[in-house]
Amino acid sequence: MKPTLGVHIALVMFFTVFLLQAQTKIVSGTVFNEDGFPLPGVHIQLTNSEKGTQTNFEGKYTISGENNFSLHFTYLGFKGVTISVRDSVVIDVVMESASQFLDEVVVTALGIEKEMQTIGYAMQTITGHDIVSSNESNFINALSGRISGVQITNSSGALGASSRIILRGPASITGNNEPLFIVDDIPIDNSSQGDASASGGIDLPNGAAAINPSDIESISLLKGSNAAAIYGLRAASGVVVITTKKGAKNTGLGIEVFSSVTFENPLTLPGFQNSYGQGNTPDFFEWIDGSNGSGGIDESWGPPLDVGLSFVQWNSYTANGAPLPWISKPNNVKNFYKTGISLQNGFSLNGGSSSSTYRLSFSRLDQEGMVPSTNFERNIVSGNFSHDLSSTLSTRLTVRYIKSSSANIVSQGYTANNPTQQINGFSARNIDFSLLKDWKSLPLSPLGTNGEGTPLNWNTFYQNNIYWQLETNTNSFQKNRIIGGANIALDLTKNLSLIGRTGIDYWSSTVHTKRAIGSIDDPQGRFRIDSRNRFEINSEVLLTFEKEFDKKINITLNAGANSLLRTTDRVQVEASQLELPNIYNISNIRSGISPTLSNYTSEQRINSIYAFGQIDYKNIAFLDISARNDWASILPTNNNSFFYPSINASFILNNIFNISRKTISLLKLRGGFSEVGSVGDLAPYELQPVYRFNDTPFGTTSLALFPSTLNNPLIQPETTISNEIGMDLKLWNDRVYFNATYYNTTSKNLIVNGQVSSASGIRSTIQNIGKMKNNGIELQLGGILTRTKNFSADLNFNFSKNSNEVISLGDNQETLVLGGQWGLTTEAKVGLPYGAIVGSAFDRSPSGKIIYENGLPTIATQNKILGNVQPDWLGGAVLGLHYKNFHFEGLVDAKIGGEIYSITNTWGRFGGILYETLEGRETGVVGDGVTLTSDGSYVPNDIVVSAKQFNQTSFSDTVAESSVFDATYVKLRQLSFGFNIPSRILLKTPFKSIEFSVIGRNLTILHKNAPHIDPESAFSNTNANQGLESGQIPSSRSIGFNVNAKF
Amino acid sequence: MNYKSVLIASIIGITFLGCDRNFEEVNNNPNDPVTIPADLLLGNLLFNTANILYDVFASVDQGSGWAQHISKVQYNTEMRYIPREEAINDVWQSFYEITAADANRMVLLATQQENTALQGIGYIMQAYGFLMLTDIFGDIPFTDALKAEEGVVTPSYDSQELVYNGCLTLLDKAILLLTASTNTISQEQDLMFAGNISLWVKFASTLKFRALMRQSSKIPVSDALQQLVESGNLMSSKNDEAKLIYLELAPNANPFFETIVFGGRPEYKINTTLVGYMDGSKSISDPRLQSYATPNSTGEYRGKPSGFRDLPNNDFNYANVSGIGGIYLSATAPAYFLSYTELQFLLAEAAIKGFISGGDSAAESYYLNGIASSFEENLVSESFDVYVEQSSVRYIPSTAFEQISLQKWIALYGQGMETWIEWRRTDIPNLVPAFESDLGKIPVRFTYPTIESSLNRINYNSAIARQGSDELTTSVWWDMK
Repeated sequence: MKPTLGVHIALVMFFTVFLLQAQTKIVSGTVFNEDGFPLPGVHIQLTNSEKGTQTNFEGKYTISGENNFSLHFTYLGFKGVTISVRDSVVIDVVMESASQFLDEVVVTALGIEKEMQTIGYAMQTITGHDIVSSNESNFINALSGRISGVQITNSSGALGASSRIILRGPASITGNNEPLFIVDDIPIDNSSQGDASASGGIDLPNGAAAINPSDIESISLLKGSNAAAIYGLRAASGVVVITTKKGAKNTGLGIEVFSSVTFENPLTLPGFQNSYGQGNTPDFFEWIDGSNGSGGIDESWGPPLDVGLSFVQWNSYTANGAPLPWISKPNNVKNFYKTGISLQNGFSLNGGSSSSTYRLSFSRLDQEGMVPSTNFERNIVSGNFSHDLSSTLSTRLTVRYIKSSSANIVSQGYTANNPTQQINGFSARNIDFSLLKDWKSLPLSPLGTNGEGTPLNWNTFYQNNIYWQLETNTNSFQKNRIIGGANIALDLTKNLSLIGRTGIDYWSSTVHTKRAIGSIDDPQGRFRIDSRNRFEINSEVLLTFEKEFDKKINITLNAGANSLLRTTDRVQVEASQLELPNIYNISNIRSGISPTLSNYTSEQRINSIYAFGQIDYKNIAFLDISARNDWASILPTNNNSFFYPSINASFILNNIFNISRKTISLLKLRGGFSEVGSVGDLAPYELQPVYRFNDTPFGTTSLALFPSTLNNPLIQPETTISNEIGMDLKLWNDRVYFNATYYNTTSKNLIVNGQVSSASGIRSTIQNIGKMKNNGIELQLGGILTRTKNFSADLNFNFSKNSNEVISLGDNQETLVLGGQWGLTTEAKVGLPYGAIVGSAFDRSPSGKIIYENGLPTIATQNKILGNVQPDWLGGAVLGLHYKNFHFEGLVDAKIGGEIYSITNTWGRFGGILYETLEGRETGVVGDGVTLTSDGSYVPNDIVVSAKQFNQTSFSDTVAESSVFDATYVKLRQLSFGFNIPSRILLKTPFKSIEFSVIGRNLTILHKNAPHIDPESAFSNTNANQGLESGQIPSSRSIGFNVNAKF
Repeated sequence: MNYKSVLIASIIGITFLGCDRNFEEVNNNPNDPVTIPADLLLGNLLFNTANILYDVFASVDQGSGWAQHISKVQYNTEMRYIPREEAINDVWQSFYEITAADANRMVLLATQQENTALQGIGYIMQAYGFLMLTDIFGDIPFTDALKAEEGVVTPSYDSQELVYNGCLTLLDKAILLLTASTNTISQEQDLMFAGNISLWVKFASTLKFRALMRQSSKIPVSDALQQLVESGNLMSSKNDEAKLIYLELAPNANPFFETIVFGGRPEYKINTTLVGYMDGSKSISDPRLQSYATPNSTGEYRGKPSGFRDLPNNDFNYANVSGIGGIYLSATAPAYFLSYTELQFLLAEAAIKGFISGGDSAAESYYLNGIASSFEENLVSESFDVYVEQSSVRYIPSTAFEQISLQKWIALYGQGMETWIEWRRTDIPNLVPAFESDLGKIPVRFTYPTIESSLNRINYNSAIARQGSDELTTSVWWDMK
């Protein structure tokens, strides 16, 4: 059953009713630190019972008890406080820090908790509250703008779209450049099962999007390989360590319920012209049904609109074939999109006894897209249990089950199945698309048209009826996933402990692609099943020794081993044409056709041993070292062992010089070196050359071939060497902080499918030929602007700049194509940052002017470098305001620089639908450029050409330059406003807290240079799909209403 | 405590299982074979060669389009001599990576597997691939080519003359091996001749004949041609011709069908130049026109001249220009590797030029054979007698070369690459460049794929230094007048 909006409202009302009911006596209050700041997560224990609780994010707590009891408040780094309770019902508590080293505790690699100030490398954390308060169903998007050195690209506004996360810049040329994801010590798969590209396919969520945002306690981003080095072969792109919420010992049953409804609308739509309609010339229009081999025209160079003209049009059948008024439909595209609705509901139960804890949660996401007939659902059940078998032996079990599904994910790229193709690609400005909606009562496209037998469309040649297509030609998706882990920790002696753990991540997914008979791209229909599963198990032991010597030196030493086993299995079957309509079964294949069949199975292992440790000298100097050796099965057996070291040091200068916390509360210098690896995009079985069978036989003849990529039995893993230095400064009792990091990394032996001359008999060979470097800076500055008892304001900025350069691609190669569309390519090109945009350009005079011939721009014979995918810098600013129970947050996020190739601009100009094409419709256009005269000099172009000629020559697949734009954006990413019902009101209710919030995401693009599109666009999260736009479903502006209640 | 020891033991157990034990086995490919019987490569090799010969973007937009058989009422970029980079790449890659390279691998496997017939077939297909490449591009890597497995990934270019020599040697080796072979080959995999080895010998001989004719303006070919005629190994009827017959449905249907019909691209129309030689306007009425084209919306056969930037318009649009005839767009239309019809015209030309014996009388008979064979292909044999009696068709010794070349040009309709290559050699008929074209001249070669200039820079540079700049208008060796 789908919860409707009505159910939602009912749920909200249910809470409200609860509020008004009287309940037993309760103590509540807020816990502050010495500076008057609320402390979240403070443990509060009733001294006379096992009952306990924790303060919430605002430092508030509520607890009930018998008369005459005491409350004991404890918090890491603070002196405990015990308060006996008599009559008072509101008790605010101020806790003093236990030492001068108040510092946050963060989760680092391998789940090790450390005090932030002892860490010798750059890492940043984000709390679960910040994630939830962004209201993003894919938590990756919530990181946008909050963390320096992190680039998030949300591919599109289509439901199920993936998001790409890059820490510090790409380290590999062909490998996955996204970080490793760890959830509660279990490595999880972040791959997307989508196949979106410029030519079609669908984008599906990146794997990590399966984590329920409200289960997240905190996320640590180990941005550089220094932080991540202990993960060895998997650490080259950094690590995202996610810690999920757990129950706390000695607490009673806590119940948390949340519910949100979010409304989504397109953030950016192209700017259209509304003065000229469908057609080829302004003086002529004839609607051709396509049955006589002519397509009719799917462009808007036709007669003027709204001037009293009438023509026979596609819907003239409603008027017995008579001409209908020729009028503009300015909102036809806007009205095509509906308001997307996203419902997120869930609850969790948590608590614990003196020896056990538990947390159970359920969440459901239910989305209806802005594009009609698209949806997405996700149900997640998770559990997190711990039990101490004795004082020295504790166990933990985590398990989460995620089911994601969609009845239809919208098609991407340049294909008739992408609905944007016919509304803002090749389109007519006089079409009211809503008239196509009730397709069941429309006549059918005439015999002989490409869409023969399917409901009529405004154009029956290039496009199907858009609504019919969305309902009928579906891409459905289903994924079931289990992530679970078991963990045993044993204290062997006072100084020595042992942890053993095993984590699995298993998923199976199925995509069904259905194309009805009569579809433009699949006239005979098509049905495809792509079924995959992936299993990964990591087993690990970790021995830890910790000892303090002489109260001066604290030594922690760890040694461990990890074993990874990963298997995958994929079966793809396709009936490329169907016998009977509307039956989607492979056996319903058209007579005479062989089904397309293929399967792939793989297994790989990585075994590792490692050791790491920290020496802490009087909290003044810290030295961290790590070493890991990996053996990987996919590498050649005689060369499969690789060693990865790291060393980091930090000094807390204010402790050395005994500077007062009141002025400088922290001054730390840090630096380090690391070496990590990656297998790039090397897959199992890519050492030995093999033959392969074609997926489809020729009739009954099996076709065998030698693959165009030559395997290499001598391949090695990629290596990334990284150095970083940084400083952390906190002033005036931590009121202001400033962090700065400089890093440089060199990635070498990069595995590249090095393209070679086809004349050698193959197209590419797998080689260790790539070398790339990144260097950059990351800055964070923030602090408390003001604080009073009732009001506080804090402001945080982050900035990062990464410079990337492809150093080498071996002896023969200067470039490697990553992706592209319409002849333009994104490339790894030697001497340029990764992702050079290379394509056709205008021919220019020596002074840089476009050379015109006969009034039309000419195109250079050689392709040019037109831009680059890499941004110049990224930044974010977050303002938080608290007033009594109200809180507000604003987030602005900027990506400056980088370019994007926009096909919406290309064909929108070519087809005459964008407003710029109005220029010179009546009078003609004189292009800005020069003409070569017979004496070899250049004079300004003065030849008038028609607007159509001008636009079609200036914008088309033969000249990419005009459609490459600066991809800069500054977005008002978030404005949120929340309200906590005051504790005193809740005292007589069963609620501990209730928070209402309104969250606006992606509210506006404050600044951009690319017309008609959101420059934050990609086909998916892969390397190949960046910097390219071709009718992506527009990103959404969303307004969400949340309620979160705790019992 | 007991569980402690169990725990420690199991943990230590995991740790010391061995760091890379069995890894070699783990990485053994369960999905694909390391080696295969040589003839398993043949089907794919022939199928892909046919597909690239009939690739619409390469052989229609550029081949038939530049030879002015076909014209388009929209999307005329390629027909205005701005070639499609992907089409150039596809031709280069397919003929090298599949036709030539898989044929080479087939030779190596067949040698190991001691099948001399398959070795011979491998040599023929290698020669076929290299000949197409050199005819299309000019100088190409040959001696150094196909050696990636030996580590040669920047092969040097050879002159076209050397490529031709090498290909003739391959064909001679093939004919020797096949004639002597007692091996059999898979009928299933042999999509062209169903395992009939003598037809492979005829294909090799006829291909050699064509190759010799192509360089006949440059080197003496007479002896070799006469030997071929006398060998009895040339194709002797349409039953012998080298063609692959496609199947009813995608992806095994004729690419013209798949792209133009199935893919819905009706902008491909017949060219005015071709119609002009067939509709009586140059006093030749040719019944094949009804097979080559479909009537336009007013029932006429109307072509469109090559080129034009801004179409369709009132002059040339989907309705008023004739489309391509049904038998050429049929799913099961054959892909000709080398037709009996073409051989007849080549024989006729060889006879009038005195390369082979027989003079005009032989030439006339070959000429008429060629026309008859073409009429048969177009299902209009009943009109043959009337057609050849027309004054401009009747064999006239003084204009025989022009007549033969014109008839060959007409008869090659549908074989875009071959029409364009042979037109470049004969320059008959006289064609004027397309309207609103980017060049003042019809292209006489493909430019090398752009990527060659970076992947194989040194060799590429020395090739263009020898051959001339890498332009569409640079003539190849045999075409240099």
